[in-house]
Amino acid sequence: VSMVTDPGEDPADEQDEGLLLQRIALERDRDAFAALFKIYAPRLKAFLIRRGHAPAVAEDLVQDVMLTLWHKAHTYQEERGAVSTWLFRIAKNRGVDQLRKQHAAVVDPKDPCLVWPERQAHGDELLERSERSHSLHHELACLPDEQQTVLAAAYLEHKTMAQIASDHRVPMGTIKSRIRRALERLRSQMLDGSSP
Amino acid sequence: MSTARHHLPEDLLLAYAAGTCNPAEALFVATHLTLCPRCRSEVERLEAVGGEMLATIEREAVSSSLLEATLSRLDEPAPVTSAPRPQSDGVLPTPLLSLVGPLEQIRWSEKLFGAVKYLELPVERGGRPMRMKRIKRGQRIPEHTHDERELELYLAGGALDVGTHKRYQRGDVSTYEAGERHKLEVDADQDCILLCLDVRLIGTSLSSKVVYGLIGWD
Repeated sequence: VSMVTDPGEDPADEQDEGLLLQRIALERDRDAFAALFKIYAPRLKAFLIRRGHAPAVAEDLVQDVMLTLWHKAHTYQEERGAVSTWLFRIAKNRGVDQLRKQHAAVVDPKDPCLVWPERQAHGDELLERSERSHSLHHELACLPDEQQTVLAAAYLEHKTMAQIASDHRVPMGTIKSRIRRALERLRSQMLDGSSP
Repeated sequence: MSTARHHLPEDLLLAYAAGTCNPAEALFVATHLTLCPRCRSEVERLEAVGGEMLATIEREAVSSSLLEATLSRLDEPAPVTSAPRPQSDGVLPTPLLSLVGPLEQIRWSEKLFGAVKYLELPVERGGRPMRMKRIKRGQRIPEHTHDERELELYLAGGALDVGTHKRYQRGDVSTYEAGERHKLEVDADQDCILLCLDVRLIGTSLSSKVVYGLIGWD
């Protein structure tokens, strides 16, 4: 039985996560992997526990997600979002697979049926997007409590809008509009897609 | 190819981005997303919120041995994390294709007059199998409503909502709220193939109920 220690000092702040991931992709750099592990393993574990996985199962899934990070580091695209967004995507799909014992339905990036935007974003737009995503953090913290609560329920607690409404004993419309207001406020800070 | 003009409702986009969809909804969303760059980028925006939630969550200590254990597995071969990609038929997006196989090999079940054919998918929603429909070209669907929201994704062919004059084509999602009456005319040039988030249908007149019974719509 191994010890569960205090998560300790947060190593997240001083690291360029994109660079660490690049070192894994290009140089198979184990130190870079360990650095990302220290940042994300405790976060992934917390995320998976809030999604209803037992702590031991959550650790197995954390290991899975981190191994996926090691093997798929070369597929990370900075213009599609922060490293945390990429890991969030992997973790939620892995959590779904594990609960249902089947693969989550995801878009296949090499699908010949894939329809591309009529107008591709330009390089400077992509750069702007990545800058804007940095301020998402600040904006999220500034949302009113009731909006933060519903977003947390939707994203972290694996709840549908109907479940959130019944937990809070308010009509579904109220939850929908809280979420809509929260997302509209975040929208300007989020990755801006190619839609006009 | 033109892109979709009728999109997914926001609650489904959020549920998909957050990973809270049931399997039928996830299949429906992933199939539309393949055909719709706009909803794909919306899902990416919503996933960025999830990423930020992950970045700012209060951390949970992991076992002291987990890093070592994980490092020792880095040299293992990469696990298979997705199903093998089937040979595309040029019509069905991969999430759907991998469940039902190529369109031309589908064995549709036919009802009485064959105006509407069905395929039941190995994915359940509310205890009933999710379905695909193949509606004959030129077919008119009499006015009807449903007891919950009806979502249909157009994969081939097209149709016109006779009431609202909305035109649905490949990639489009038609959304009708519970109780919203509608009637449709399928385009005359080819059969219409739909993926349905299926709901029980209610004909709005006695004659349409009879017609539904005959064509086996429900």
